[in-house]
Amino acid sequence: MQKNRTDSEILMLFSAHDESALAEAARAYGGLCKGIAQNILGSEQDAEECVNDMLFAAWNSIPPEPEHLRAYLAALTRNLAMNRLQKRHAQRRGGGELPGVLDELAELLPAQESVEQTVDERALTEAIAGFLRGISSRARRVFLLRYFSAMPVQEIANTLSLNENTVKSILMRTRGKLRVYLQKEGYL
Amino acid sequence: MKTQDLLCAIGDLPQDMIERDALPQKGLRRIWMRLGGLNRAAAIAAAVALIAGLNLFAFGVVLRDSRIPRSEHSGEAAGSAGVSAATTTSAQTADVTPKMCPWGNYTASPVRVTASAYAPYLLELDAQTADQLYTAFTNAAWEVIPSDTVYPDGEACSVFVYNNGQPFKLVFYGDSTVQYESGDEINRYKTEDESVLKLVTAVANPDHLGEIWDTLIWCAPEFFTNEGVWVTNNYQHIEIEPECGPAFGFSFELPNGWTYHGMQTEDVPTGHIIVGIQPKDTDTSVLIIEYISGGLSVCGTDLESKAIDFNGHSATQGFFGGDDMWGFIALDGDYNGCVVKMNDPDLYRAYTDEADIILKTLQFHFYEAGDYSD
Repeated sequence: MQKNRTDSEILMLFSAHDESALAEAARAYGGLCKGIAQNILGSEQDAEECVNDMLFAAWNSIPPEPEHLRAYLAALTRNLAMNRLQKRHAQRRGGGELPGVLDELAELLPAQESVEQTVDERALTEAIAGFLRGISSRARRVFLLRYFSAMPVQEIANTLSLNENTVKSILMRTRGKLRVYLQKEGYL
Repeated sequence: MKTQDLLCAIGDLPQDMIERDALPQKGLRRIWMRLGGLNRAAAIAAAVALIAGLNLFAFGVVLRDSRIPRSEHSGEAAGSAGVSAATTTSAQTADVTPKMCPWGNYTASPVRVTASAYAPYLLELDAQTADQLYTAFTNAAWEVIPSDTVYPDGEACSVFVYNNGQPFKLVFYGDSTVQYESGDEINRYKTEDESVLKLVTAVANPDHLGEIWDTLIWCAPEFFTNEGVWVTNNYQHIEIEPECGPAFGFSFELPNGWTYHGMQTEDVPTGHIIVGIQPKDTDTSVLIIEYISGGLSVCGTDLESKAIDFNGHSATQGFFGGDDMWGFIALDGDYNGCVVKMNDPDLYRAYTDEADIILKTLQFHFYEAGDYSD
């Protein structure tokens, strides 16, 4: 059985424009990325295509070498999956976990969204990162498994050995705290 | 701002945060596949940092109780202190001479540890830490000691190794002795190897225990066996508290795929707690657990009862109408009012294994006067 290469070895292959980088990245993280894409898109075939897109994007964007290859590929996949969903104009209820995720995040926002208000996305990212650093590791993990990886609540519960209701409760409380935080920071 | 802005912002969070918190733990996928989905608790990423500061030493090795050559693994320390194996050929150099772990080649096996700092929880080592431990075991000198060597006082650290379904346990004592347990086989060893002792000390006493606490795996006493520690996370530890005391609450291990539902009377919140437990795909509770202040009242007609021990407490087991299946178990004495009812004998017979785990792990806990509603 072929041994999996380390992240640094895979990154070296990318940097050297060695095409085996794609196979090695797929072998190491293809399953993880497909899972994320499938959570968002709800379709295995779309998820596989999304992983192929991710590998292509990684090929075009490395170097420079990312600090964490796995996180980098996962973020690429997530964003590509969301773009794919937007492009095909999916019905709100037609995707995988994303409709539920959107519904839950929508609870954070005022009922009347201001179309004039523009958001500095980078500052918002930093604000959310700051918020997440200030909460418990368990809450942060539950929050990110749900809203980054779009993981179903039941799977989060299984992954972290928690009760499903506990996961829902943590998510609800964390959303509430985030809302208060974003209000204080002037985003809401 | 729109929800899409939030989603995008979360997608652009720092990579270190994504790596640590937004993805399944590294190495876990391999373990899931190995255990067929049993082992879904989080692995310990923090343990890597815990161990990272340790310097591993390579000692001259005289391996006295070797079993299986470590042929596939290539640890970093592998070349520093080889064993003069009788089978070495001229093509082999000292640097590639296979070294051996006294407990066989269990590389890539999941490893769980418990120690007094976090018992009865289990710490699952991440793949890197487990591999470091394996390497240290392999490179260390082990002396076989007599089985009747006096055990030292003080704390011990237990290391459970899944070993591809042939689990074994290593118990590390404070006097540098180690006990190997697998089935009926017990062997004892001693080592002065610093890398082994430092690694075991590090996993037994994590510096930042608070940070990894949420990732520890609860293990009920009934699961503290070589096999049990690998299925313990098929169960969730459930604690039912009264809204206010004085009253009894209870705890039990709930099998995956099961659910429970409880209620407490609003008018007298300390008077009656009732929880039904059942598989998720059924409509009926198999067991009902209750605390009834004042004790259980039952009609004596056609009732047969016998005294039993229920998880260490004296109890009365009741049978109705000549049934061979018990109808209730009511604890006696100080635990008067703590009751288990058999709600559906047919379902119990269909799910006996899971239901018995619930019963074996059921404990009643007394709560002093106070408000526990939050």
